[in-house]
Amino acid sequence: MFGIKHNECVGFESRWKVTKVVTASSTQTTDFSSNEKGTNTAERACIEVQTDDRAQLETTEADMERLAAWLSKIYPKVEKAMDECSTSQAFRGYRMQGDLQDANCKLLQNMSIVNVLDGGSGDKMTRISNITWNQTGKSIAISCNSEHDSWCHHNGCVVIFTLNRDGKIPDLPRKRLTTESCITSLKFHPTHPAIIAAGTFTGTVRVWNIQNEEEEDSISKENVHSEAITQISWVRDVDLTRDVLLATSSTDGYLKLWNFKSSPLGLNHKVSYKIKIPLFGAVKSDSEKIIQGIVAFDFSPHSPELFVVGLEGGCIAHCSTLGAFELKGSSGENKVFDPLSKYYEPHDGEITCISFSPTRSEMFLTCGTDAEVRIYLIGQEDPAQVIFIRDTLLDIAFVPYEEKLIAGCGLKGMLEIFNVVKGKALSDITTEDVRKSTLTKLAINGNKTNIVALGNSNGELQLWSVPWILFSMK
Amino acid sequence: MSNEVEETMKRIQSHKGVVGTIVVNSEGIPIKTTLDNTTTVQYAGLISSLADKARSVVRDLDPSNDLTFLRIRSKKHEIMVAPDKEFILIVVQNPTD
Repeated sequence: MFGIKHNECVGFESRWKVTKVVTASSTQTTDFSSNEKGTNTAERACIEVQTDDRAQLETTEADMERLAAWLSKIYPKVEKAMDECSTSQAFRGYRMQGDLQDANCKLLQNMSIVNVLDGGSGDKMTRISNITWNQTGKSIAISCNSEHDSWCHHNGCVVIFTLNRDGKIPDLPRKRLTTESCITSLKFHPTHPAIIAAGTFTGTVRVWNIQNEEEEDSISKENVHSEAITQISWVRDVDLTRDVLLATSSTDGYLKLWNFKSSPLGLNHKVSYKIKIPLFGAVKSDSEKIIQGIVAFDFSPHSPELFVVGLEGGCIAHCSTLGAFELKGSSGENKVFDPLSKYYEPHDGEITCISFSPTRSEMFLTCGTDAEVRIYLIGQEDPAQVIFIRDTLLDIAFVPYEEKLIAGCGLKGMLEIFNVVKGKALSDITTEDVRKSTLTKLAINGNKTNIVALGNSNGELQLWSVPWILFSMK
Repeated sequence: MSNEVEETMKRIQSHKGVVGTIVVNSEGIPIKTTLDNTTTVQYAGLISSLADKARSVVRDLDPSNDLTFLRIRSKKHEIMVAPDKEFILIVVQNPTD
């Protein structure tokens, strides 16, 4: 298995000096080239404009003499037509059928009045107590008050705003008027746009002319009533129908009429009325309180001698200035008359509002805390229509030019619309943009009737645009 | 006499809400105007043909009757047309509300 073998030695020649020959060569097929091409569709706009040939006014010769004669003949007719056009109310609130889709109730503005109208002393006034538009519908006056448990110890304040060009209420008021106590009722004069009257909690009446810069240029009647004034209204005079009287009512049971003079401002006592306490039978048995104070009243716009009064306890009295007889015990200047003709079926709660229909002379409405809105006809003691509501309404008004509609506001915090004929609520108007709280007052602009101002218990004023025709067609 | 015409035109023009007044002859050619040329030509042509049409309607209904006055109420304006044999007076007015 193992053996020994000797091999021949082999040598190798050293070749360390030989250099290696290297040749570099490269091959390239073709030159590298790149090509870029962009494609894009070109935008092209073509506008063609075609203008009409310029209208050339042809001039003709006309017989100027005959034209002048004809023009002066036709002028009275044209003038009459132009007057009719500018005073006509035939198309007021009229909308064409096609326009109705885009007509919606809109909140135009929501502003806080409390900051503007700080009484200065005592408790801060939070609740809007009165809103009134002036005759032209361009100015709005607002007053606030707070709850009173006993006597009023605040100063009252009215702010008057003039709407700006786009129909909005500016941030700053045009005028501030102050009174000695809280304002319970506020009304602009029906024909004179600068005259405003206010009734206060302490029974005084103040009348201002807001055109005058001096606030002193106002009249103030102290102790008109011995208790708080519940309502003031401008009413037509029966004796001189061109004149306007101021009517004031109070919880002291008197309704007084005042002769008013605009220049210089003057207020003179004309007559006092006191409603006799109703006999039993006319009053519901559960209201045992002595019914005396007047909480609301309204004069008929059709016959100025006729008025309806709401008494404390829910009684509604039909009165007439013509048939009033003198009460026993009154004499001299303090003569007191009883204007009562009859009583209507009373409310179970306090009356909050009484209003005559602007379109139907025999119809008026009352609203009470018993959550009923009643429509009465003058000659009928029972209500012709009763609308039952869930939340009490604090203010209610007939919608101008829409005889079937009434609008109200109250604890629900929305503008509520009712149909008088159907006797039911149509719809509520609200938006999420406003915080819901009790609405205390409602005022429809007399000139632009679709503009409604609402005041709430937080001192906010809402301005709405409500196309009433939408609801009257429902 | 031209003065008298101008005077009446001015009186009409000064009336509340009046935008323009045009007097047109029986051929529909404007004689006097307070509006600009283009508007005047448009109004004159269109209103005079409408007035002719309205007149023929009234006369066709009752041959003894005639058109005395024409009022057109639009969203923006009220156009009053007083037609006559020789002239037509057109008044464009802005309604108040």
